[in-house]
Amino acid sequence: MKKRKTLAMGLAVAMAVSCLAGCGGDDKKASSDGKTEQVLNISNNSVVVGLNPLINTTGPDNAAFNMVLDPLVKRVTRDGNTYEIIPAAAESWDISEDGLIYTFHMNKDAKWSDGTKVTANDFEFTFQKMATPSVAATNAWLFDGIIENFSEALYDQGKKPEEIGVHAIDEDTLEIKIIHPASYFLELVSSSAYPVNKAMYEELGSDYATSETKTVFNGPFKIESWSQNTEMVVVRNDQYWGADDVKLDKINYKIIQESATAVQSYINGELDVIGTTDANWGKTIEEQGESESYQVPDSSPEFFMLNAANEYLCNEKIRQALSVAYDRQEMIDTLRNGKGVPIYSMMPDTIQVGEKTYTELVGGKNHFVQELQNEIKDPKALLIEGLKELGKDPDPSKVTIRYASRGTDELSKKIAEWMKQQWESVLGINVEIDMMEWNIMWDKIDAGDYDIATGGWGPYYNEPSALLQLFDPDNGYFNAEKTGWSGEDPKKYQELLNEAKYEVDDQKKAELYLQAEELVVKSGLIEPTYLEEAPTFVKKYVKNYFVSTVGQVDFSQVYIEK
Amino acid sequence: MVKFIGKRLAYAVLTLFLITTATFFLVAGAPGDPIAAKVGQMPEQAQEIIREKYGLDQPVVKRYTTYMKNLLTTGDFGESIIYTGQSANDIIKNNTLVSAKIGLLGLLFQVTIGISLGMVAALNRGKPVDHVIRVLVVLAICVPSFVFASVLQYFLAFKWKLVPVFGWGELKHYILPVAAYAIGGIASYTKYMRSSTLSVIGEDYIITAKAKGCTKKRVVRKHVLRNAMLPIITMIGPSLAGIFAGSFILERMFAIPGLGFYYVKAVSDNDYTMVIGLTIFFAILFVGSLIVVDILYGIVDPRIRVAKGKK
Repeated sequence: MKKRKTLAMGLAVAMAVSCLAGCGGDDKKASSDGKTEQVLNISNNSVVVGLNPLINTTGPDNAAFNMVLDPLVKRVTRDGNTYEIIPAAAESWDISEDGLIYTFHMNKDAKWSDGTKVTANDFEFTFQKMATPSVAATNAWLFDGIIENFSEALYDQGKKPEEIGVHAIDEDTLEIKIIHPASYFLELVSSSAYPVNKAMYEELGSDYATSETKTVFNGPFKIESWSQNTEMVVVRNDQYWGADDVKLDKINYKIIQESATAVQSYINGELDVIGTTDANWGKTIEEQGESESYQVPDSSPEFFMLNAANEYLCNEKIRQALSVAYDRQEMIDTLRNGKGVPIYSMMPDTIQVGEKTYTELVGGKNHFVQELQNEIKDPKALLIEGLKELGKDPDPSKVTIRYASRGTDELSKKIAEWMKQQWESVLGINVEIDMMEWNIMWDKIDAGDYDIATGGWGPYYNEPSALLQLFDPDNGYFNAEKTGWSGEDPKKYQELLNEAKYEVDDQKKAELYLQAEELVVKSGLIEPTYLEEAPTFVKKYVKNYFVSTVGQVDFSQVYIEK
Repeated sequence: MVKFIGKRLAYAVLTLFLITTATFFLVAGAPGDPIAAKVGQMPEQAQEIIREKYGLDQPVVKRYTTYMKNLLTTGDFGESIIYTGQSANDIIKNNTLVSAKIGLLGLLFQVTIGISLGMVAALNRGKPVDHVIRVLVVLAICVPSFVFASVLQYFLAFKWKLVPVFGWGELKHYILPVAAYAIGGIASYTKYMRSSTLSVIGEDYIITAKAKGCTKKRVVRKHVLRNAMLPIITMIGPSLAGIFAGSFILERMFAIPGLGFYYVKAVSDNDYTMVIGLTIFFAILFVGSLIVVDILYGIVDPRIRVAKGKK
């Protein structure tokens, strides 16, 4: 009996030990020469979905590609919330007089991490794959209607992917023909056309980039290991043409979903960069005194969209009353601890038309909500006027409007409750809150089954059309079927956008955009609310790490100085 | 016995089939669109291209038959809709072990510590030790594991820097999640062991053993412990199936690369290949552990086996 018990005990111990030993198995080597090795530790709360730039295009995916893949040109952040477009895989480029032909001269020293040359053919191939319907490239639609023959190929309307306006004239020269002048084209190329390696893609097909060993990199770094929900380790790419100037040896890009965990590890020195909106943690970090903080608003406007097909919201006066019935600054202070910037135009003030900002070009006239706030002294009276126009009972308390939340998280709940309170107390109407997950909200918007919904949008390039396109009554994401927009205005809107597309003068272009914006914002169809602002803290020993509203962090310039 | 196990297995297969079918139609019928996140911003035409690729343009019954055919012939759960290029099988394979390691270690601590504490409390019934243990047990059962986790994380890792705040791969990374995982279980095992021991202590055979002149030590080891363990053993079965599911929140808190992340995300993303794959996987584990428990009953307590046999 005694023996058996000892045996059992022994087994239990052996189990525990072997389990622990197994744990220690994947032990990573700590850098012993920490002083010479330049390592940056960063984190994200969402995972990198995949490594194929044709089909993986989420924010974290792009953040990873930004380190390991060089597009033709790069848009990088510089000091003081500025950004610039710099040469990457192409060392220079010419634009034809009419703005329709872009000729990129490839960097002759550019190599893939396997040592082969990066050629114009790789980029030609990348664009052709994007235009191939069966690939289902997620960024393809961005070039539809811009690059010659692109939509015809993508939607199988008589052209082949080989016939799109992207041609490798020779190994070192790539020519792209576009169908209307677009000052933002370079930006679009920088953010949405990371290359694939032609030879390897042809060999692997749909297996391309399913793991870090089945792809190659042409950027400043390459992926050494990737475990989707833990960590991506990128190291300096020795084959990179500018490798001598790259200062970091390694970047550990960790996945931490829980923000409290991330902040605590930042304070304890396990991470070098952190973003947090939590005021208490922010204070603790400030008190520690080891960080630089950057606080820049993002460039993605938050807005409410009103369904013009609704029996009340079809009236402009009622919509305008809703739009001015609350104070946007108060909204930010109450709901977001003051972290945000109120907006009175659908365009963030940083958005540009050519060299200048849109706001500057139109002399601030785009702040339509402010204009409405000045005009409308009594929103409730305006609402009643609107009800009378509609021939409805002028008693606001008989009006019920549904508000669809974008998700069931804490912030969405708070926003819903706050808005309900504001609209009900100022206008005397009833607001019903419809709490739903955000993917369900998309469905409801699709079906037009909502009265007021929350939206937010990160423009793909820093130009007004990137936002105005959304509301294009035919092709926009929020098209007339979803917004219920009808009458003459939608047609006029389309004409204005089309005219702006072919306008080469920046001033005139901006004014056309202004007229278009007036149709959606001043009419109260869209109520811009705020830009989010999340403070980013960077340890003082991290140099050259800049944060901006647009543009990616240029990791090739970042270094550590302890 | 063979007939009994065979019958159990047949039921298990039927159960799995029903679970798969029900899950498929529930997910397919749930509001929301698996590729909404991916294509939300695209124009209609561009969305169609992506929908076609995943066969989402097909009617649901067609999708079901295709899916089942694939599953039965190749055992393939299909490619994740969200994690493009990765099959649900791979994701499960790559992440299960991590969850299981924490769960198994946690369970080991739960059982060993729980049994010891329960015995100590029962044998010292009414004494201060018993009171202390009972108060701690109530506390530990009431407070959810993620609260323990954040408290442990805050003090041990953040304030005192004894262990890392998060991470995976080294021994030191196990300490916090395993501790947080184990605490609740330790408390329940302590509670059950205490009451089970108390009831055993009152039995006639214990008095007999004492009367025979057994030493107290021997009575506890030979008679009390063995008999009091019976209900505990039957508790371990379901706990075994739960070791994968139990640590979802902890995985998130300590950034541990387990299955939990995918399970939670898959549901909110409507990623139906992942949801079904994971559901089948957990169903197999659960049904399997129930069979094991049934068999264990028979082995541990012959009376149960006889009773079943008579039926």
